[in-house]
Amino acid sequence: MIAAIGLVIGVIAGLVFHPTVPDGLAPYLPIAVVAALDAVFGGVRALLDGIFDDKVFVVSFVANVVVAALIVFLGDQLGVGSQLTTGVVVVLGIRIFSNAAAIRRHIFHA
Amino acid sequence: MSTPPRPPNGPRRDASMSLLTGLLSQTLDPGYAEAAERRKARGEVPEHGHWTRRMSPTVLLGVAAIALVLVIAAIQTRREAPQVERERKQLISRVQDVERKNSGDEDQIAAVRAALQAAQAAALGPSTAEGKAFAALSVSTGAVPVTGPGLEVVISDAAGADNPAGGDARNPGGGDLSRVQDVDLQHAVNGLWAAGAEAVAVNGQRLTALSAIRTAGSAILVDFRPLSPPYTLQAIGDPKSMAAKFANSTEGKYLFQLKSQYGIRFDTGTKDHLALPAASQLTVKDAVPVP
Repeated sequence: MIAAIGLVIGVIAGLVFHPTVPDGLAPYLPIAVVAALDAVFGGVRALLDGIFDDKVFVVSFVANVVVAALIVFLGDQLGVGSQLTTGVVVVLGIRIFSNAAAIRRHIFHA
Repeated sequence: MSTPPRPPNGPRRDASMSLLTGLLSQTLDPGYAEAAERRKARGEVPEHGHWTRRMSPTVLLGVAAIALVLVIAAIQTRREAPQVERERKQLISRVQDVERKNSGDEDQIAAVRAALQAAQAAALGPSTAEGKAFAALSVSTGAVPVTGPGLEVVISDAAGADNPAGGDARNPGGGDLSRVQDVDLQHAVNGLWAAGAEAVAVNGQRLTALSAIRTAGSAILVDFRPLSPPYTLQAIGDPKSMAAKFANSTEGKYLFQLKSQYGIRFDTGTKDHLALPAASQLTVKDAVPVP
């Protein structure tokens, strides 16, 4: 219930305030999206496993976004930004897929 | 994914592979398990059935933040997509505008040149010696479109023209031997001139005394315009004698040899009526007539 309220608040905030991403941060937006999806799927899986923890959920989301952006930023400075972006997306993508599969097993038992 | 059995003593031999294994097996943040352990150690009951009670303002905040990120990304993507598309369309329309302008200019050049020719011919008079010389020169320099009987030679790549091949005398830089090369076209054109052609065009490009036939990349350029096979060489002149002379000339034999050795397809035919356009460029940079 409270998650649904949070979702609605987030969506409305995004639609109402129309926050524009500064140009300097625009390259990190896709990474933030992937990290956010990773946190969502991880949280849902933990919920179904019965070990959900709110603090871990929020901290893991924030830390994922920050660390992923940091890695990409560092890569940009070193001239290997696209390769590191690929690396981050691959790692988070594998996690998203595995967690989605675990959730699927929980729900459909298949 | 199954992990190999751990050796009885010591660390795993394939410890360096644990990164990949961990990546694939520990997909859930270990923090969740640790938090659960801590709760168990503190003696709290795991709340399986009432998971809604575990929700707190922290979750509200976290979900709101995630939703915000996703919405921002969606808005940003939607805002940028039309912009990129618009820029692409602008570029395309600019290219098309310039192309239209170019062809318009070419038409205008052709019209002005035709008017100039007519004016010059009229000024000189058709029956005077100067007038006759002017008409003959206009034809042989390629300044005017011409028509008449002649010979048509069609040269095109061999059937299996995509086999890569090594170096060759015709083409020291390597390349495909079964393709028509610029040298082949040069030979054919020279042969036609030698056989008595009065005007020659390759794929509709009228040749002048200053025309160049050369290769750039994989395309053959005639006066810096790329052509694509088959190459149709049209030469105006007496069809019968030209055909015989061309077939007996060194260049004609060269083409026959290309046919037998490399499979280059080559075909000649006499035509009763050929129409060749005027040359696109007649610019002379340095030469000036003697006054």
